[in-house]
Amino acid sequence: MSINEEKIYACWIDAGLGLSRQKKRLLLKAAGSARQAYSLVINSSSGMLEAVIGAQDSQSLTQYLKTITPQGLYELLEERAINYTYFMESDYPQKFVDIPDAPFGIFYKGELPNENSVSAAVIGARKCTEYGRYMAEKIAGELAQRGVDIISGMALGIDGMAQSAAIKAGGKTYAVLGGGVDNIYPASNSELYYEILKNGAVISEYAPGTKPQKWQFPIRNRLISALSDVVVVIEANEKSGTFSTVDMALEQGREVYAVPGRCTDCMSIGCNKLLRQGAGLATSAEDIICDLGWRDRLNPKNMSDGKIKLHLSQTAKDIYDVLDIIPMAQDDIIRILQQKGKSYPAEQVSKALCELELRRAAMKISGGYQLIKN
Amino acid sequence: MYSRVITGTIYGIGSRLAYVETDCSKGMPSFEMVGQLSGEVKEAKERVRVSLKNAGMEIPPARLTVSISPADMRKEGASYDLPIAIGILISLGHLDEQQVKDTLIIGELGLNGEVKAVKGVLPIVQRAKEEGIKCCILPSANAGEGAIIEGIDIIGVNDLKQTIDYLSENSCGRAQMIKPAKAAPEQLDADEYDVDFSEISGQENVKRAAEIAAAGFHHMLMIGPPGSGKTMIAKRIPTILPSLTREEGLEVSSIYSVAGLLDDKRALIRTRPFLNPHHTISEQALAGGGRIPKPGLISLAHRGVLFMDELPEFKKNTLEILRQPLEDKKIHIARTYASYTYPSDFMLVAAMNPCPCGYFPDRNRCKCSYTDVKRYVSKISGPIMDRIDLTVEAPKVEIKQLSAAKKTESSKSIKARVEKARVRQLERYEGTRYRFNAELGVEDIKKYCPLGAKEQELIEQIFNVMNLSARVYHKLIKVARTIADLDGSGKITTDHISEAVSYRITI
Repeated sequence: MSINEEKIYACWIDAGLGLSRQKKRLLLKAAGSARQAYSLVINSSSGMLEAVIGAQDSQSLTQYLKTITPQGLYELLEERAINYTYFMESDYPQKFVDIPDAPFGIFYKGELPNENSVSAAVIGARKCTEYGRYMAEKIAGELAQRGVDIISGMALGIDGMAQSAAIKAGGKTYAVLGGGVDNIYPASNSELYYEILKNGAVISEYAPGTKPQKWQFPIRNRLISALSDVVVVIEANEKSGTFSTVDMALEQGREVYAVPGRCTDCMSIGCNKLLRQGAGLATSAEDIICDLGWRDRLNPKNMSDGKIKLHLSQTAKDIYDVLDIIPMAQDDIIRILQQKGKSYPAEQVSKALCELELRRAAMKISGGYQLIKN
Repeated sequence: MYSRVITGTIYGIGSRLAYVETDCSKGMPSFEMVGQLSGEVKEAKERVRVSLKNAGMEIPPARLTVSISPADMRKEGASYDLPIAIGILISLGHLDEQQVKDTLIIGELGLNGEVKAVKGVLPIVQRAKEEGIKCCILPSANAGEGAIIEGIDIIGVNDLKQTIDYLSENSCGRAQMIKPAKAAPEQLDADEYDVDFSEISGQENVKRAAEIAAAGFHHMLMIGPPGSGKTMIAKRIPTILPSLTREEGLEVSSIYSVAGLLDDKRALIRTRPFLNPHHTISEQALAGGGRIPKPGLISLAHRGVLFMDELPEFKKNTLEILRQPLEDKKIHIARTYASYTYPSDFMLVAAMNPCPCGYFPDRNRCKCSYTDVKRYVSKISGPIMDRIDLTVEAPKVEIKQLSAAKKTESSKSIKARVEKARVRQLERYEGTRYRFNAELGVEDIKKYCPLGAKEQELIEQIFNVMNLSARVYHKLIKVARTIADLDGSGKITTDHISEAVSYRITI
């Protein structure tokens, strides 16, 4: 058997109930190895265990021993295709090693990122605007296309959109979850979850089966920034949870970029504030790649990026000029055309919009029609 | 002596003739009434006795038996008072049976002999005419309603005394005494509304959608923030629907007559009904019901518009009730005493906000999470959404637009186009059960809406690019058919299809 025995015991200790990260390390250090730590638990009556981690934790560990054995746990994980690595192993991500309060070990499904590749966290608000959605898809998609790994939290809004854009662009993406890796949260992102398993991994320091709790998310955020070389904030309001990730990133010495927005948009206040504080300004993936000098390490730029020339009817052309990435109801389009001195009847606008949709230059979504660039 | 007087009874929104049989014989004095009578019919005994006395006709001590046939139908209401009184007078020999030959009598009596208005006169008179009755004696308050039916004499009476006098006269004297009531001429062709589409500025696309919906009788949904004019537009949809035909008007009036909502001023309904139930409405009030079933709002909206504002705020059960009527155009209500079918062929116009606060996707104002938005929309079940053919976004109206309001196209000119489209549909569906494109069954779409090769190609392209589900397909074709009808085109062209696509739902 080639399975590292130590790993089995370390995994068992890691999944143990109620033990803090420090105590886990302490126990391992005191016992000398994970296997010996386990035998301490078996022989808890000797009092050694209690001396190392205190009475309360030693009691709960002994209780935990009755529910599952290290071998039993490992088989269970194997059955569910969940992998485990901890800080003494060689496949433990190097990026975690340097950070303060690094995780004892991590559970993951899929494949861990290549140590040599560069990665970027693309994060932002859950309640994002259409502009945020567009920028998340654009920047994450471009970065992924150039071979940058996209790290995020698989949340609703920006996180999920950035990750699905990365997959669509054929790149790799990694989600750090706030609960166990087998807990799909939010449930509405389950399709994305399975896509990520095929194109990267979901990672968590919490034992499988752990329900996502509110307080776990800020703690999880330090792993998102740790796993990345650069953190890109797409959209955040004034008091966004995104700031906890940014703070961690600065503490860990990662670069922080923000996408600018209009001063009046409340979902851009956070980003503009970051920019004022000295964050890098990102209008495209190219800005980041240039600044960080990654150009030589990455795939060449896809040249078909420019605007495709469309052969459109005059009405469609006029509408195309009016459309924006923020969806507009058809009556808004008609009104703006009128203000420009172009009066088209509603049915003609409908037809032209269908034409634009068929050319993939516009899309009808909830709220109206949206411009699709490229 | 035995007598028989003809009267009528309501059954659902239809009616049947009923007969009041009276016998007066010697024996212990008594007054018996039989024939599955409800409480208020049995109480007629006292009303009839006293009002006869006050009309100067004392009932002598005798054994009176009144039977209202057919005996297997439950009788409700106070409309039997007058025929019972007349029946007693005939059996007592004060009047002759020949004097009420071919005459239908209905009316409620007051103790002073006054004849009061009753519900459901219109369907009863209509039935009487079909059965060959020549004259109807009605409460004068209902005479205008009855007079809508032509070819039958309507005599409105004020009190019992007058009725007795009238019946005692010969035909010449009768004609001098009370002239048969005539329907007010304006009632027969008035088709006027007090609102008009010209009062709406902007919202060209929503108006266009309303025009298409009206032309094909499609159900429609408007999505937009508060204050975008959704209610204003919905209120004006009846003004562009094709005028009610006389038969349709009678049908609608019958429902209102049964519900007791007709009066002399509005005897024949010529305008399309518009009903706007509040979202707290109970299931019974919407569908109809009660121990003794009464038509609900969906039946009162028959041939008109049922406007449901704030659609997701309606209780789920209330919305689900609409499923059968939307499909079958009628609703069956079964209760202990009876099982009735009420027509409910209405056009559903629904309106909703895009999210609980109403401002999504304007993130500067909308504070709802995506889950909130999804949950809000998912309150409307798939089967209801499936029956809505057109969806249109009603954006916020800018103040500038309102102040610069110039009068736009009037309801009259929109209606002219709708009427033309209706004629085309009537011609196409002649001899079938269909009247409007929206009613087309899936099996007949191919037959009535054939597509050319170019159109077929466009549809395939649309479905691929826009990622539409098969459900949308039939709606799309039906709406395209209506657009073609408005356009005066016999064939559905690519233009019609590409316009129809813009009315699909995207939530």
